[in-house]
Amino acid sequence: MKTKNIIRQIASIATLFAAWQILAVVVANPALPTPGSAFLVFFREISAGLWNHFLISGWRVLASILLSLLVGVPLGLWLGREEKYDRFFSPMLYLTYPIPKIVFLPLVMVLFGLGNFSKIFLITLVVFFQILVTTRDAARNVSPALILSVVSLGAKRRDIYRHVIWPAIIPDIFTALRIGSGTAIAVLFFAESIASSEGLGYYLMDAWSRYAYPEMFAGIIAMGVLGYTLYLTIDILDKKICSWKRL
Amino acid sequence: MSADKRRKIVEISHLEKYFGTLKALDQVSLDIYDGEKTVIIGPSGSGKSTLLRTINQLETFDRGRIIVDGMDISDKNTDINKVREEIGMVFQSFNLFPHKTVLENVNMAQMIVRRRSRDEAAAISEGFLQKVGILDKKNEYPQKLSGGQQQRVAIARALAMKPKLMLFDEPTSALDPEMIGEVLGVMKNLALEGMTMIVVTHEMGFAREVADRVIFMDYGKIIEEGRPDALFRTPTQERTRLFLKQILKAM
Ligand SMILES: Nc1ncnc2c1ncn2[C@@H]1O[C@H](COP(=O)(O)OP(=O)(O)OP(=O)(O)O)[C@@H](O)[C@H]1O
Ligand SMILES: [Mg+2]
Repeated sequence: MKTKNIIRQIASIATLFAAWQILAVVVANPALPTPGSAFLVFFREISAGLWNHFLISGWRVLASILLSLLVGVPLGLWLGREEKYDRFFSPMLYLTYPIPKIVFLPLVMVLFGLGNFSKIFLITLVVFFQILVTTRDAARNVSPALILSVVSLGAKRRDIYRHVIWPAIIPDIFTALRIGSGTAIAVLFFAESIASSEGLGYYLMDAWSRYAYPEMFAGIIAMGVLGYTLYLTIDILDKKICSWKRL
Repeated sequence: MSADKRRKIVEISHLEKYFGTLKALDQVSLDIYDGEKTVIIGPSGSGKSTLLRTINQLETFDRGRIIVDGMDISDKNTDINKVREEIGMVFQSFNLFPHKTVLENVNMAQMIVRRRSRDEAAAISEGFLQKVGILDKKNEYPQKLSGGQQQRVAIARALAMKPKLMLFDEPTSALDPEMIGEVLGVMKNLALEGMTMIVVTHEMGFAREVADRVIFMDYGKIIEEGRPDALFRTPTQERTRLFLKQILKAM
């Protein structure tokens, strides 16, 4: 079962590389190197300086996601369970939610400078909304009848949150997390590509400006690896927490 | 049966409850004695559910008094969770946790409310699952169970808290006809063991067989009450008579 899964994963990745190889041969242009040459450069670059950019980007994404969870989940829980506050906040939410937050990058840079914090802030701004809205909706949708039946058994408010609402919304939070981490990397790229001197976004744009296509693809591979690691981590946590939750 | 010599479990006096301007309960007074079986009937919207829910404070009330097992629930100093621990409630919908097994469902409230250990809770759960005839399904998830089986689990879950009073709000209304019998059977056994019960139901056979008294409600009021045979055969109020005629025609 487990080895079958691993074989499937490898087959999936191999198919992707095969398609890339074919496309590269067909296009026959330096803008699209073959996977072979891209990986050669990737491994060379990793030991040169790419690894540092990778770590910095990874740290920024991770910090943003954690921050978004830390603020978004409690706030979402609260709004989802307290209708009167939700009625006040939800127009605000719906007005700001659809705005592509990256338009605030100039403002964020003015306020927080060019360093780590402004990147983390911008990514958090985007991911936070997704987590907030998902958590709120999930918390709101917990069956009132189920809650009432547990209340009738004498459970306290705290127990209801802990044993009924919380377990019910965890799967939705993980879904939000998966969607959010994809968005996070996209925003990260954008934030790092402007007025930046570190991170995968910077590395990529720098390579691009020098027409160093193999290096650019090394950066793309690094971004893929970052995303893949993130998804794997989320999957593992999901399985761990969900099996614990069932007890 | 001389119920009056026994202890009062519930004393309701001059209860009034509004939903906005709608008077859902109107001057309801009712005493329930230890071991007594009361069946409440009445048309839709007459306040039956609301009355049950005020007893364990799933609904608040506006005027009057309710005393449960000596605890005055309108008193702010009364710990309402203590009152709820004494009262088991079974709803029309079964409300089991889909991601927990039958046994875990029955264990849960015992562990978080009664603070029993898992083993202690499981031993008690198994006893009650046995009693409602569903012990063999203890490791199944609720979706695998029929409606009647799920409702029996819900009853076991309430009983596992060792309540002094059981409230049933139309426990068989959501069930397919062929499953009603098994749930009523469990309730009958419970009645035979002497459990104090208040049951909202339109199962007249059950009322006739089990109830010490039947209460007819309409417009939030108790219109009439009496022993089942008397109330069913010779109701004194016109509204009761009309309602019974309708119910019997429908069945
Ligand atoms: N949460 C609520 N908000 C507003 N009105 C309510 C609420 N709950 C009940 N009511 C109203 O109070 C009245 C009594 O309702 P209740 O549910 O107690 O009736 P019932 O006798 O149980 O009816 P049924 O046989 O349909 O279950 C109805 O008119 C109902 O519409
Ligand atoms: Mg009702």
